[in-house]
Amino acid sequence: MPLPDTSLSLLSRLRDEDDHTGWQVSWKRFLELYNGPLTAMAAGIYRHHTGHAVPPQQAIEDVVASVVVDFFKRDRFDPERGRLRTYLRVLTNARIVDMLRKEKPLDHDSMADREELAESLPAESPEEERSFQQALLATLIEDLREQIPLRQFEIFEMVKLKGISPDAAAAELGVNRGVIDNTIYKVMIRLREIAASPEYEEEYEKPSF
Amino acid sequence: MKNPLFKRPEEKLSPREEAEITQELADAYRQHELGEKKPEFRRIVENVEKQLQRIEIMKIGQ
Repeated sequence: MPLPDTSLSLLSRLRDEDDHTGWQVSWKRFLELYNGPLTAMAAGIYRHHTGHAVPPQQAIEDVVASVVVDFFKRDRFDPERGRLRTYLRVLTNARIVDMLRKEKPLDHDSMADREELAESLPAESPEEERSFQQALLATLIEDLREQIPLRQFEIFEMVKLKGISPDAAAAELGVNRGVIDNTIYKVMIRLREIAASPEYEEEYEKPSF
Repeated sequence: MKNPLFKRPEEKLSPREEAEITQELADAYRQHELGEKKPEFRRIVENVEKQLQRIEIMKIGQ
């Protein structure tokens, strides 16, 4: 069976303005993958704007939900103009600033300070960076799952993702050890082909602000 | 240092690099699986659904 040419299917669909089919599925899938980094972003940005106050759990959840809605409602993410992680940070920052404004009604003099606040994005925390990288790798695994036969992914999942030994996987699936080794070899090549897209590497590397 | 996962596919990986990639993928997979089971994840899903419903209601009203 020929493999599809698209290497970035999931990320591509996120920003495909013409493809609105399955939109409800897409946001849930997006949230499954990016809930971790969005939560880390929201908490870090909240701390930045409040002098390191502890972010309330409910507030962070509200912000993450709103960012997901904004992302799909606005449909303005343009990979030509910047990275996904930067775009998500800008959306998250805007939501945090809105929330803080509602919490503390502003007098006229402090409005200017708040405008500056909205422009100010903190540096990415190590936790946020790690979380985003893991989400990106999970996206890569999802892309791989869609681009190889199910049986091949099953073997890859057992051995590489769940840490089951090749011998145990062969016994469980009733195949020779050689089938497991050949499949892992082929799947790793396909994984690296998908990962070789410049967009994946650019998103993975820490941005400089 | 460049993550070995992003080396050109035709470049051979050392056993250490291959093990590093495997560990990172397994960590990401586990985090992803755990994340979907957290109660806060379900609450955020419900929150998004409510916001999307409100948007749909607003669209109908316009």
